[in-house]
Amino acid sequence: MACSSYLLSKKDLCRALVTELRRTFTYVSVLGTDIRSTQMQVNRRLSNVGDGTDSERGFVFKLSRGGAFYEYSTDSLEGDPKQIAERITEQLRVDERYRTATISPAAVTDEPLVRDFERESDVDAYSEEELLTLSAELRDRVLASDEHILNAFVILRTLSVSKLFVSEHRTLTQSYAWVNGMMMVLYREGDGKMVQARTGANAHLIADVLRELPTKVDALVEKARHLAHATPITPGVYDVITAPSITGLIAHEAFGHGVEMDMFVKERALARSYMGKPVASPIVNMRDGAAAALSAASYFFDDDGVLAHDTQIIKDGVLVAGISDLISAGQLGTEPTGNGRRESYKRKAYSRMTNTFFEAGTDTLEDMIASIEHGYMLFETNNGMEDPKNWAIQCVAEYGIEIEHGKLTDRYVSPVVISGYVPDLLMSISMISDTVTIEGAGFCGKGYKEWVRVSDGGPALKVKVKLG
Amino acid sequence: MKHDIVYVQSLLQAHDVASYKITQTDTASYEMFFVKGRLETVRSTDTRDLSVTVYVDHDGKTGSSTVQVYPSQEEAEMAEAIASALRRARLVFDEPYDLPTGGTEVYEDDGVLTKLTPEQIGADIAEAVFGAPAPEGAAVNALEIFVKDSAVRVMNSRGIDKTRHKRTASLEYIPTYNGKDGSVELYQFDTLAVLDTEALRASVSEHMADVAARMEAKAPTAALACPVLLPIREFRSLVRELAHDLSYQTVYNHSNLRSVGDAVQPDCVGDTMTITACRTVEGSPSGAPFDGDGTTLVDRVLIRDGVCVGRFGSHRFARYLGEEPTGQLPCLCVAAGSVSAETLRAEAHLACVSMSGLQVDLFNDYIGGEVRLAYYFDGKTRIPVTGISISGKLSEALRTLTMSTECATEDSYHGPVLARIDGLQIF
Repeated sequence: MACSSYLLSKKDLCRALVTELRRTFTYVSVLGTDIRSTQMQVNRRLSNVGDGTDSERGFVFKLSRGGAFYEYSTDSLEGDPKQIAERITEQLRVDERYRTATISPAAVTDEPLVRDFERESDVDAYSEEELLTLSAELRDRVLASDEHILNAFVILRTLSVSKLFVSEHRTLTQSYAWVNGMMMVLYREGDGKMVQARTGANAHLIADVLRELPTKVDALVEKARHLAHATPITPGVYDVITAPSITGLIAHEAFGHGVEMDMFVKERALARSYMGKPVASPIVNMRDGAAAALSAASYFFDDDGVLAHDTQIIKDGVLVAGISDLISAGQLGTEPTGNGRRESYKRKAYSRMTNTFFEAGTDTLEDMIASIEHGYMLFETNNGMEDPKNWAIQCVAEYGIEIEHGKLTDRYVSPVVISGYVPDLLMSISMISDTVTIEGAGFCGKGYKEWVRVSDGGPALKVKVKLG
Repeated sequence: MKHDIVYVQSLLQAHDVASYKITQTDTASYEMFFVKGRLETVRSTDTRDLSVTVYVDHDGKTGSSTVQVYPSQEEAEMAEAIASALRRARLVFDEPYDLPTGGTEVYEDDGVLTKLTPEQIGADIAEAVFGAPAPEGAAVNALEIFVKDSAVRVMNSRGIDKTRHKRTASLEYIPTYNGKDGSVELYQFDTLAVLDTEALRASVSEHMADVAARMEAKAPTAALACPVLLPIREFRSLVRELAHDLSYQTVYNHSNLRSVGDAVQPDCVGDTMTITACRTVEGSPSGAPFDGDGTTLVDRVLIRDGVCVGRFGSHRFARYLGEEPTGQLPCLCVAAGSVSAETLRAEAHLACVSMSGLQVDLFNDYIGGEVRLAYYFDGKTRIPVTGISISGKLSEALRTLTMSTECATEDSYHGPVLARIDGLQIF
């Protein structure tokens, strides 16, 4: 996929602006974004094809004179570099009460590099008419498969990203795409309870999504039938097997947020005091990185112009590294790890997770289930909330299946809230399956805002945890 | 040349697009980010978003499609985006509907916030937060302030041309307590319609006391069995779920659980709820005079005395259901309950202060969540507790619900400040 011609047409102007602003500031960079997103949706009564909410085009400048950083976001760059630079400088006002009460100056990495990155994409190989027709056929197939289905939704989302990064010593471009496919049904038997069931397929090629999604129809409908009869779980502490999406939820919410190193700078992360110490069972290994897997958060350089990394976070149960953006790395005196991400060009960059997952172990899933006398296997992320300072957990699974005498039963419970204390959970991991699956359909907020695309996953884990 | 909504309209007319809606959102923000009391980053944004929806009647149906266009686009590129929207709209076969009609209206923001510069507002908020009285060991170690000016203008092909200006200020801060046995924190996010620095200081101070209590909080050694008191922040998420079930679009998509006439609280032994969807509520930063279609908003009672009596939603889905459009109402108002907050707190209870987020699942009749800080009162002594979760049947929670007589506004909600629920498991 080629980089946006609009951004390429602004490359020289961005270079000129960096040169102009460097007269005033010790560090200057500009990130240009041109993102095309589309959303196609069909259900029993409605259809829709249009631009998605990720679409944007704009620029953000990052500047420093030592001490505080300044940023300016604008939707367009036109005119004389000197005049634009003056306009940017004028915008960066601070009330006199806070002009000097700034963070300490820190060195900013700006190693020389000029590169263009592209990833293969087939997003433009299909017409929207073709995609909508395929989606409608899939919807009809789902609706025809059971009379209790009230509505069926098929959604295809494409994301085509182009970014340009220019600083004094770096000029980088990148372009890549990602595709999310989702099917959901609303199901009700007579006067019974209404349930939602969903499934998805995600890949960098739309052909892969279109091939995988239809293979999941029967399982989706079967799941809806089971969920219609699901009961609440009796709260308690159980032996649990986590399916990969729940493994990923634990990696992300329970632990990942706590190793975002801007939280170290703010002294908001308990993990900082555990660097080099055991935080999990010795069989546990965990990674994060835009270069660690090919999934929803795989890019070539981050929004600070730092190349993508593959960071080992937990090695043999010991916390060995965190993930950082440019500012937090500068404050901590470490190398940035390529995790500086923005929700959009309009928002600030923070240390953010990318593709976060536990590594495979040596057990088979069958052996893991067989090892449990009574417990649950948990499936499908609903949501979760981080607590990096106090390591409390709240992760919600869509459903669980009861395990009895080493076998999965047909008894479903839903929803299931996992709670507890992170080290207790991670230390309780006693078996890890030998296959890793990474789900590339997630969005992650920092607190309750700053949403970015992420993936997470891993193998199945055997843990002991509180469910409610 | 930075294109605007009028330019886009002229382009649509030049290309004979008969039915359309254009939305222009101009945003200028000023943002301050503090780390441990020191300024880390200052941000300023100046952006314009333009979205165009075209509507095409074809084959007895109506199709629509929305595209983003950019102020920086050349005419040819913008024209191609519009042509693409027209092509897409012809792929969509929805039941026919019309667009709302209306005239020209401009709503200015004459609130107190507009009297100050964004830098002054930011600095005033920072002073209030960092200057709030706090127990020894408590401090705010991260603060983010967002002062946002937005101007939203909606035009359509049936004469609507409405604009609203608004300034809001939001802050996210992290009260932290450092003790000899470690450190704990709470999370706080508020959006302000007015800048009352004394009230803000008092609110921050209250959260500082809470975070100090979290340090002392322990997981209960024995199971607790008592009513649960939900604070306004959690209770409003329950109210929001109940209201969402009564939107026109939810009904049209067959994803509603209840219909008009259904009882939300059958056999209620506490307070029945009366919930109204509103264009605004007193002191809310979320109010709006019109929705994204330009439809003038009209308040609608959704639930009266525990029974569903009305639905709400956009012009299009109202037309589909043969009901009157109310517009997408942004606020919810809940009538006061029957018992004072003081009385609710006088009996044994678990009063939740901070949760990861209340989980409400209408389909599964579930309510629950992880409690990060609560006060347990056994009728005599009040102690902070943590490391617990609550869980139960939503229908039972609604049946036993009792709400405070005192009401307050938080973001888009106005209603009781405290709600008591019986029968939840605490574990």
